[in-house]
Amino acid sequence: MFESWSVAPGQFGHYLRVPHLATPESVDVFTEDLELLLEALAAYVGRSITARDLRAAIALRRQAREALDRLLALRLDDPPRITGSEALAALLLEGTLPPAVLCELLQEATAEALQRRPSGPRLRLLLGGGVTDELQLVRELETLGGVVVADNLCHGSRILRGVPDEEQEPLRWLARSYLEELRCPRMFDAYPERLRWLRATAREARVDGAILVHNKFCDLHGVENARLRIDLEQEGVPVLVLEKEYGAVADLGRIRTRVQAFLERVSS
Amino acid sequence: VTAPVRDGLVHRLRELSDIISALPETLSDAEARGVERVLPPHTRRAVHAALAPHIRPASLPFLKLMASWLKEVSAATAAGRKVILIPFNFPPEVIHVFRRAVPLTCEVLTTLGVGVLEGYGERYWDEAMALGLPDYLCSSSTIELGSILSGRDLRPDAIVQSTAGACDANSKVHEFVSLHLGIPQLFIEKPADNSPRGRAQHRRYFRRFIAELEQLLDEPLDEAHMREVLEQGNRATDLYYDLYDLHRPSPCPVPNLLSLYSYGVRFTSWGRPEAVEVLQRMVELSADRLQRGAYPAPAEVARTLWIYVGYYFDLWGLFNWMEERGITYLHDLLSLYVPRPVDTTSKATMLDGLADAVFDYPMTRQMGGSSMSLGWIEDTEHFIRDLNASCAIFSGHHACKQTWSVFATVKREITRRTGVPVLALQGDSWSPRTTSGKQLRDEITGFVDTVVARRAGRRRRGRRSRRQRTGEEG
Repeated sequence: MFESWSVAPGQFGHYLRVPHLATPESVDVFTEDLELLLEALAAYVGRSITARDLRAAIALRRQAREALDRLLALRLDDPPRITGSEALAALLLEGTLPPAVLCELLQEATAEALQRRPSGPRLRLLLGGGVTDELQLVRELETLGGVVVADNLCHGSRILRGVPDEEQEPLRWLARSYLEELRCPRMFDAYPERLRWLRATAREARVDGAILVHNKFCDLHGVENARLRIDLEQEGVPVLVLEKEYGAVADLGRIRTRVQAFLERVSS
Repeated sequence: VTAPVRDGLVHRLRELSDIISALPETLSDAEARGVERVLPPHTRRAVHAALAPHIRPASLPFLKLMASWLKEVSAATAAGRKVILIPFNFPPEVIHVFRRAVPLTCEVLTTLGVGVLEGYGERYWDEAMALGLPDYLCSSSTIELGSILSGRDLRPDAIVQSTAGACDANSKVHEFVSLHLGIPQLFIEKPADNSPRGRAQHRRYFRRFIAELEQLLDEPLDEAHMREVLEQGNRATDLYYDLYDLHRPSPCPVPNLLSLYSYGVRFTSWGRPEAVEVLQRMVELSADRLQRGAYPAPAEVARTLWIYVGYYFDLWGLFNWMEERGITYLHDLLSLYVPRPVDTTSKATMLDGLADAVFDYPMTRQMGGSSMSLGWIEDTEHFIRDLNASCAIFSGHHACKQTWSVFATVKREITRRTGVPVLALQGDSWSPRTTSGKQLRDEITGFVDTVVARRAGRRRRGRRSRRQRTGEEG
């Protein structure tokens, strides 16, 4: 993809090499690579980026994430005060809006959600898997009798949550956090940790079942979901693995049928 | 109590290879036909391709090498040695330098299985699919791994993971097997950085990998044994280049199937004296054919460079079929492994040599680089010119998202830089389910007849016309 993008004229392009193992050596190397990225960005925007700038940006992001956490916590209520599609919309905004704007929106959304009187028992679902920013898909799932109360999606709750201490060098902190806490199946030797996190999330959200999605031809999530299904079902969590076309609505009918059947299985 | 069913891919191949092991070093045509008659139909077709008179002197040693490798692997546990499952992009000499380990090369097993077993080994693929794995995984690894997952095959003691980043399908399915069966994995990561910095980083990773292997095997690396193995590897390297050079003349004296044999040897037995012997026979056979001007067709119509992999489910119907029509299969990406001699001065130089062999291995070198297309384009351009290829063919293996993602760029650049036409096929290189052998043959025929041969004709006519004009002017 990067090479295809690089054909487009006038775009900023820099290949960030991300190791597939989180070892002390790879953290060192990735820290260096983040420095190279920073230099390239600085050259592109025509100003230097200091450690102080980074700390300030991270602090702003922290405020936004705290606001996001307050909103996402409302998913855990029974019945939940926000839907899975609303939560996903907020998570997607986290990756696109400036923190100050985002904070304001999240505060408004949280205040509004607290006023709601959620109705009826619905099956509580965990939605996990690969790149899924199709809000329409999640809305569809939630019209069938379930509600997404937790997620483990690429653009969802996998985002980094922590912040570095004053003593920590920000780039090294970013490098280590990214490699150790990414929870993406592209990282090897880390499946047990990913499974542990998913189990804990499912328990905390008191889920009735899990839907694991992946886009057609995504080997990483396709294989990971096959393994997660086996492990979660062994622990009594019903799982539906759904393969989808990224961004397409053409197969929504098929998906709807499979989800309906799954929810029937879970509710019985 | 009944004995466990042992109908896994390795067991089945091992049983069939016993027949090959029992054959004499030389066979007459009548004897070869007799051997074929006792084989099951699927095996017969592959053996028929290998025992064709013009390649038989190289085929028999190669098949016997594969048979002895399978025997060694099957006897490893009883001999107190560990079986280490390695992927195609990992040099086996890294395992051979340890006395207590035997390499089991996943994709070579699949290729042998697809070629000679009933039903192209598809039942093992189905074993993997039954566990919920996606159907767009790469059959090259998934067929053998499906056999391991079935629990009815030889179980490796450890798995080497060396394709992270270069091939998601391969790396993830190996991880799945490791988790499913509780087999430890050893990781060697190739940075997506082909600069000296990336190479230095990789050498550090490699030393960590060797330390983990020493611990797993409870065997410190022995410098003297390491040197023995790598010196054998260096002899094989010399022979590889002798064989490579023999591809230059037209018509090409190197039979098509020898490209496949070459990487069969590389991926299983590099560093062993048997590998040197087989390569020696391949060189001798080709040199003799060069001297005699032997070629299976009246004329060499096309010199094809397969810029990715080949198709392996019908050796007779592809490799031999092409040859009989004057279509030379010069090389594919896997046989262009261009080995480098390892400096055996010290343990440190040998470790660096091994690390570099991992770094520069086919596909790791191209698809594992920071640019997937650049290394691939440059390598292809070099080999097209160096071997005077008249066209390039991309096998378009359906599972390889990496190569498909940059193929448009690669095709455009190859044609622009070298002027040769590029044919893109589509199919599964290890299964006729997607595209049949007949369809592939039709497409290759159409391409060669309408594009390659006509271009060659136009060039000949152009040269003749220029000569005539020059003559008139003179």
